[in-house]
Amino acid sequence: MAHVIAQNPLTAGLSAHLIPQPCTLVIFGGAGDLSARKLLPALYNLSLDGVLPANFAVVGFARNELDDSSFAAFARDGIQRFSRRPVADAHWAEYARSLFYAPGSFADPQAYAELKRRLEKIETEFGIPGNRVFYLSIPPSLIATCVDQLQAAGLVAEPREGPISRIIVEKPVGRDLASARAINEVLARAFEESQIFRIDHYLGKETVQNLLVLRFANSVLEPLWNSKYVDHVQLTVAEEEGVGTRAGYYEEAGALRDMVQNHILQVLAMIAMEPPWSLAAENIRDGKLNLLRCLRPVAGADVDKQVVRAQYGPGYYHGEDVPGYRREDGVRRDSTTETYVALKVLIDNWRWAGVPFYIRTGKRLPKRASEAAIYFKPVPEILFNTNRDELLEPNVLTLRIQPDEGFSLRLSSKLPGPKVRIYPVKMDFHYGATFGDSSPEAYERLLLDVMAGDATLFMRRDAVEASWAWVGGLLDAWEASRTRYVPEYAAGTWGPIEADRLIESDGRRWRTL
Amino acid sequence: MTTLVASEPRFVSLAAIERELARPWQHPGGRREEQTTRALMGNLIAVCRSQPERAGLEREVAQIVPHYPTRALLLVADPANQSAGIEASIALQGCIRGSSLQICGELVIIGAGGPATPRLASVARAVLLGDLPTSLWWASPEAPPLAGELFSQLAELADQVIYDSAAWADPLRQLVVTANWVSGSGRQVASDLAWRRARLWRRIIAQSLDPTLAPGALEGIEEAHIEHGPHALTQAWLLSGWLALRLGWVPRGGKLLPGPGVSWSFEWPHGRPRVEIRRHPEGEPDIRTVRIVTRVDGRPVTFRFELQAAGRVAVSAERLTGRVLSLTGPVYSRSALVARQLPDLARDRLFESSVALARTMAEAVL
Repeated sequence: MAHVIAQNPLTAGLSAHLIPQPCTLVIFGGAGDLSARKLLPALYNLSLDGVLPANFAVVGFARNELDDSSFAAFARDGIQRFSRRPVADAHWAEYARSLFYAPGSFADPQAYAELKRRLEKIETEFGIPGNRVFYLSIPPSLIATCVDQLQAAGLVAEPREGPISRIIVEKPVGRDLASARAINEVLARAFEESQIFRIDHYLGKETVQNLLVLRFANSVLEPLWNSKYVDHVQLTVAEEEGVGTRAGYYEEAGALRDMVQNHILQVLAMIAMEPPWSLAAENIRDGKLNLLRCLRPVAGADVDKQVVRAQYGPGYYHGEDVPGYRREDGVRRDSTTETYVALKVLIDNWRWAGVPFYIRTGKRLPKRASEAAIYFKPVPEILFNTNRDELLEPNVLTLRIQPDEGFSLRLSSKLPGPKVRIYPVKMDFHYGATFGDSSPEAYERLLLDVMAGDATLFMRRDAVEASWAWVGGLLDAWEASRTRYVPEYAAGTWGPIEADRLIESDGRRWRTL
Repeated sequence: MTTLVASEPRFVSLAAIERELARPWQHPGGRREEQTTRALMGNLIAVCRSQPERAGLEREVAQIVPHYPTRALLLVADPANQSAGIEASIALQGCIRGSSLQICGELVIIGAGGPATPRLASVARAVLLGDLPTSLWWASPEAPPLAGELFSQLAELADQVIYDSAAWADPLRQLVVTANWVSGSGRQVASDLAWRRARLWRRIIAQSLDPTLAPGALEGIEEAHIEHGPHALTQAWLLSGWLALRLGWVPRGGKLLPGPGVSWSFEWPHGRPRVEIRRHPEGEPDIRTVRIVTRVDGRPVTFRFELQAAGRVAVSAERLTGRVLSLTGPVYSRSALVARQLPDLARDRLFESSVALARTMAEAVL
């Protein structure tokens, strides 16, 4: 007797990656800012590229009193303003047919019952076999309510059998280890870990994805990727903007929680992790977790030696006067929330013993830039490096995450002429200049990965909690200090003098970006 | 801020090609911060047979460069031209970022008449960049193995050969000859743009007949009918070859139909499916409709896939749902298809096997 075909043999060769499964994407907070700026434009671009599943629909769920057509208008407006590609009328009608809206309060069981009815109708109409992806684009305080209601309404399917249910949660997950654990517990009540996708859009950027390729697909780099050849690493995430309209959130978060705990530590983990034995999501996530567990704790008196926090004061932004942090709307006048943090991080494993990783991130810095720079050890002070007053610049490999994604390598070269004069030259690679086509936005890649069930670029519970555990030492020390003084730096400068001292006391300097 | 720049082609002597291409480095402008860099992913040899073809191909190569930064050699081997000389011109494409220039395209146009054609490969060999992969785009309407000595010489230089069977005048015979060449192409990657064009159809058929959406639809296929417009015969054959290959159908015989059309019967453990391909004399050079008669959960269902416009296919499943889905995929020009193929330097075993099965089917009706 002929066997039943369970796996689809026709999908072979269609994609190097997993194929997204037919599903409905439900966006909680569908009428919100993230939805308009990122999610709906990303889905539109995926649709333009023809990579969405054949049977696919989007349902916006929020308190706003919209209907399907006004939600479509909301989506179109967002796409016109924020999409990397303009709205194509020929394609728009098809895309708009897959957009739906269900109004309702996040705490109202009746709204979830109605959402369920709506989903079942859409699934029948679109031939979607009950697969659902829930995107929680909502404040962390609403996550528990939402998850419990989803479960109570019978909207969550068990994994491994029948239709798939997946949930996407935005970073930051929690504001300390205890609250992160609480959120993770809430999620675990309704979803298994394999169904939970903790999203950090930084991890969807080309350069971040390229980190593993750069390290493990180039035999010239990996042998040098250790304490024998690397002098130190600098990680910078600089923002031009002030706190803007996010004062309410930022006052409770600060730079350490907002940037360091999640994507800076994730990028650091990808730079420093051991080679995974395969590219399977769990192996890569295991590698990152192992690295995070090797971070030397910074606590007690070490905090003052290895960490600098600061607030921006008044200064200039693109030549215009801007107020200091404490003068921003929604910020307490005696706030001690840090808008800048610089850290010296050490990794206690065989590969990185003694190699400092310097991290700095802040608001109201001179320019928007995110990058990782690997400084290699200088050549010995012989041959071309004998002039102690003018030592050769070390080789530096710089990985630019944003803007202008790409990487560069600084080498020393002889200047033409009869004398031997050495000059640093930079070999530069720009994704944008080399590949003129606009790269997909991070959310495009990440949403597609969720639909395909590929969790490689998402944060696993244990890694989130390991990050919080490490950051917790700093937070506890700051809490215990009860200081009312936080150093200031003028808006539009590269941070406080204390941050310069942090790195200069080791005989090094911050990069000029 | 990035500004795209391109220079007009200018004539150079063959011996000066490399030197002239390096000119931007020799005149950096005197200021130290003005830097010229080059980021190229490979060499591309594009071949055509006449001056009118050349103009179109030059435009297409310029469109490829932003997607695949390359040193492109455009060889015009014109048998109608009786000149014994070879002439060359060069042009550059790049991006200006601030005060630096990043070159991402170097175009070398080399023209030769019939008597000089045997020397073209030697010119190409001298101009190719080392350490980078080389792709040969055979942009002429001849099937590569029938193109003679010039093709053989250039193919020796290439890691990949790209051709377009849509341009063939006698597609069935050329398909058989080319399939033999593909199976013996050794280390080289062979790629037919018609296979890439069929990708949207493969994806939509694969998704619509997926066991999770339509249980039993793959096992239950009784008939598949493919209709195509002019210049899409090989695309239709490759699609049917792919379907048969992936489902493990064994061809049992074929016959020509009036119309014109072709019909084959296959055999596999689930039955004896039949495939019919029919050609429309006019219309879009693409597959027009695919109709698959099958059973879902034991009930007879007919899936109908119909091209509505370029890149847009309407899907309906008669007797399964009343809904007609309209699915879209990106529409690629010939140059965009080449640009997407160029970085694919791994052999596509699925393509090679589908070509081989299409050859078996073609031989049955020739």
